[in-house]
Amino acid sequence: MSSSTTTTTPANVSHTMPPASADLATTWAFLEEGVDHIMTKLQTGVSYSKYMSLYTVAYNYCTSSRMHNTTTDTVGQGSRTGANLMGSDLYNNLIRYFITHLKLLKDQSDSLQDEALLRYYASEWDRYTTGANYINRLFTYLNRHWVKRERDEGRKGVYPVYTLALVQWKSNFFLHVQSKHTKLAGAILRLIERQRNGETIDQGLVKKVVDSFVSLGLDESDINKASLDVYREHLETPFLDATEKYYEQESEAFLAESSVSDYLKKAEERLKEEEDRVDRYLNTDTRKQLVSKCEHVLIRQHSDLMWESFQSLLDFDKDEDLQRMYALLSRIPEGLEPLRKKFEEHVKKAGLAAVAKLLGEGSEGADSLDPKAYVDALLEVHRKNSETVTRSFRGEAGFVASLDKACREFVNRNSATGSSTTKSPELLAKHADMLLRKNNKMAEEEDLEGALNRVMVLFKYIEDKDVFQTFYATKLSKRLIHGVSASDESEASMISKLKEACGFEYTNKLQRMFTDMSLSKDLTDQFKERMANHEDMDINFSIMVLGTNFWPLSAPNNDFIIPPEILPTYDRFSKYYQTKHSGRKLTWLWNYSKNELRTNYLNQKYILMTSSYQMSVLLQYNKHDTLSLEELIAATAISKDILSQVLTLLVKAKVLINEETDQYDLNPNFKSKKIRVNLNQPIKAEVKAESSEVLKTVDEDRKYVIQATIVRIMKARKTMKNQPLIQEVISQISQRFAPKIPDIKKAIDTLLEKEYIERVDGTRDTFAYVA
Amino acid sequence: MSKASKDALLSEFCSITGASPKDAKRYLDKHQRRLDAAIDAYYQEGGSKTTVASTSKLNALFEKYKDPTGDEISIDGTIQLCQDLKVDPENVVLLAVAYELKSPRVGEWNKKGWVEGWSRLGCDTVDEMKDTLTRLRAKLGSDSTYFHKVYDHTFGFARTEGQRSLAIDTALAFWDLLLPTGLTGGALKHDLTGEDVDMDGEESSGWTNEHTQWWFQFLAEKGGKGVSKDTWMMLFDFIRSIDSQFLTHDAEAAWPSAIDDFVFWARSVGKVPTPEAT
Repeated sequence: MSSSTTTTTPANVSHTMPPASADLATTWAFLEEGVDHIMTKLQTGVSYSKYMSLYTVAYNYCTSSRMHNTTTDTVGQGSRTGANLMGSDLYNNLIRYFITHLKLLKDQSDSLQDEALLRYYASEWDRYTTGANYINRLFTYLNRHWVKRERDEGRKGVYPVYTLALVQWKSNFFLHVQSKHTKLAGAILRLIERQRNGETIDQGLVKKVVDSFVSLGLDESDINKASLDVYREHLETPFLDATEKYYEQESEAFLAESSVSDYLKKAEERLKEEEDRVDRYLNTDTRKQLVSKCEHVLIRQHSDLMWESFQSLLDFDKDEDLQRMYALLSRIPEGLEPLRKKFEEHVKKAGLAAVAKLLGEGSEGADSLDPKAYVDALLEVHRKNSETVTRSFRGEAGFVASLDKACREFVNRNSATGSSTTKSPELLAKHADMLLRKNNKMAEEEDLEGALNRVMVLFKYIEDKDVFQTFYATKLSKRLIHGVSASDESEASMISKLKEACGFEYTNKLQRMFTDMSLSKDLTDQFKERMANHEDMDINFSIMVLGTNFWPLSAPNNDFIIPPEILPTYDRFSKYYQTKHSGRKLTWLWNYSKNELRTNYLNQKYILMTSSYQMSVLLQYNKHDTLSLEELIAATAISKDILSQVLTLLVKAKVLINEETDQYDLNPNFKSKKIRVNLNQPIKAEVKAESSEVLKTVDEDRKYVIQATIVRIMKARKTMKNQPLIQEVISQISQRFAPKIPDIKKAIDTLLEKEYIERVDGTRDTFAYVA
Repeated sequence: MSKASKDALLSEFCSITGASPKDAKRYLDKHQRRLDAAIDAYYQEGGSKTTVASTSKLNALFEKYKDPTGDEISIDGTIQLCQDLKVDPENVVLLAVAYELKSPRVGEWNKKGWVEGWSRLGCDTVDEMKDTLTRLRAKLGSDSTYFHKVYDHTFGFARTEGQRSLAIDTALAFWDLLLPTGLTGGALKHDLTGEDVDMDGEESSGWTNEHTQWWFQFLAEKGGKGVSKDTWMMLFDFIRSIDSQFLTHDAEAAWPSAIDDFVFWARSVGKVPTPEAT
């Protein structure tokens, strides 16, 4: 190294580089001057050669002892001890330098307060750390060897030079300032408070000081690891406390003179501000605690009030406020639960009120409730609240569940249903029937589809889905038989919706009904073709052959004499069908058939559209002009009470005249504006019987469903206690209907009696499957 | 020593040791009617010296009462037997005898059941049978387990062949025999094992003859076609577990519907208070 050969003049000791062999005093004097220059007036610059000479001197001093000792025998031990001494000499002198340097800062800071203090602190910090960085590099050799070895040997309190500088800053300056009523942190907190109060502050300044807190943290076990302990102790903790106090006061004061709606806005803003604050000048580590502290003070402590005001926000449809309240309360654990409960109650009440209002409007009462009005009222409540869930509660699952629960409640139990669980499914099925009829007012296809979708919305909530199913099947059969269905597409669409909701089994029968219809159409065509060459086939005939198991139709229980006019057709078809499907039994449902009769006893030719009973009555007048009730009964074999209703209709339509008791004459002067006269109107008794008939079917079906379910469960489980068995039955069946416990117990009774199951010996409440 | 106290001693000996009355009498006579000494001796000798009832004697007795045209003792024989035993044919003890002798139906005793049953009871003479009847009557009234066995047997015994359930009238008649016996003797007393005893005074008494009358009234009004085996069997448990006000009745527990219906009926006609809905 060239410098080692240069000689220096002693007079110039501080400016001239000392030789490698120079003693500590000389060496340090040279170094200290350089260090101080770097630390205090770096801005004036340090020349490369100056820097290099400083570096070299530090290096030389550290290695000089090694050179002295190379001649001795105790190489290893001696050199170590020597290096130790050399290193610690420099190290201790550095410490002394830092202490002196910081003493100056300390003194200057004593008179400073608040922002002035922060400014002073920040600028000194900048200068100090920049300088320390250079110094650190200057003493690289010391760091790499002496410091490293000392640390490796486990000595505490020895750090690389930069870290040493920070440690010294902390103990000789930082702690000193903080010790005076936490002057430093206090200044920061006061600035933050001013900002919270709406003033503009120098955020860069705050950030710089806060960053210094972070830098001062030291992890003794691994100095390369960042440690937040200083930051936490001196800033974060007091900051969080101050935050809590600030918002406690602010929120109390705010609520004392403002509405909850305004408070929601305020709290929302404050939360956002605090999160921004972390981004701007705090350590990200503080975010979680700060947020949770704010949530606690701003939300949790006022949650009771929010819960209380929730109802009025709902009542007045304050969507934005609801949104805010939701967003705020969703931030605290369990914050939403009371809202969900209240919301459920709210929806339920709205549903019940809507139905009560409907009943109040119509004077007819629950019995003659218009299905459409009923369904629309329920749907409106659902729509409105469903929108609230989506808009204000972001479609959150808990609120959806509350909505569903409430809807399930008021759809199945309201003032229209009373205690009957079958009323709602009945009305819904009737509504669906009206939608799917030809003459409904839904002109557009899309409207119909939309209406059907809305039916499904309520269907989802119906508990007694089997009741709906039975009513729907009955109505569908009527639509198909009478050819009044709006369209095959819509029918198919509705069935596929039901299938999607309840599975294949649920719609199986419905689908079979369509199959029967199309098969019947083919059958009619084939039969016509076959009979084409029969000259007396002047009767236009079409047939529907419908599977007994799939159609909710019942054969008439009264006799019926087939009029001779149609007998040949009847016979021919029966024979034809037997040859086609031998062994199948045909039951003729006269009560569902209809006919068209052409008149030729009047000047004007009319076509009378009739039921079979009407037809058989009218055909009697081909041979007679007047007949008594007795004669008509004898000729048709229709029971007296049905026949009188048939006759009443015919008399009302003025086809027949009833001038004397039980005497019916053909009206020779019959007149009608229309050529096609529809006489076929349902008989009242039939309409009324329909509902109770359907419900009876449902009841019978249920008994078997419950029994079958129990058997299935018991077969799988072998033995089961009473309570779990009942629960399991309920859970398995509840898709179709809500089984009542006494009904389940009756089914258990029956199965015990039939010995499908038995009580396990020695127990009162355990059943076993009997294989 | 009176006849009654002698009998009591005898029956106590039997119930402790399970020995036949014949053996009991032998041991008690031998030990001057000191029960402890007699029982000691009985166990010392291992109870082995029990006198075995004579099968041939029992066979002969069976032949005596047997229907001359059949293989079994039938109604006439039963009436004759009752006369000889000096017991009313409608005495409840005959249900215990029917159980012991495995009689399948009223007034029907087969030979196997007769011989084996009486042998097990240790008697082969009409006099011994009379003693045994006294003992069985006491046991039936007081011993819950035994009462339960006889009660269960009675359902099949009383049932018309080929029927699943018991006609209401028949059921009522047999309950009328059995229930008062069990209630008086204690066999049907309220079984509090495993239950929270939280009742006071009179009301803790549970089922009484009055309740039996309610049950009969209920069945007469709403009983329907008949009493199922399950209802018959479970009534025993119900009587032993229910409180007199039916407050502890749980309609969701595993009681047969008939019993649930009975409780609701009792409430609806005001025999017991209707609990407030919860």
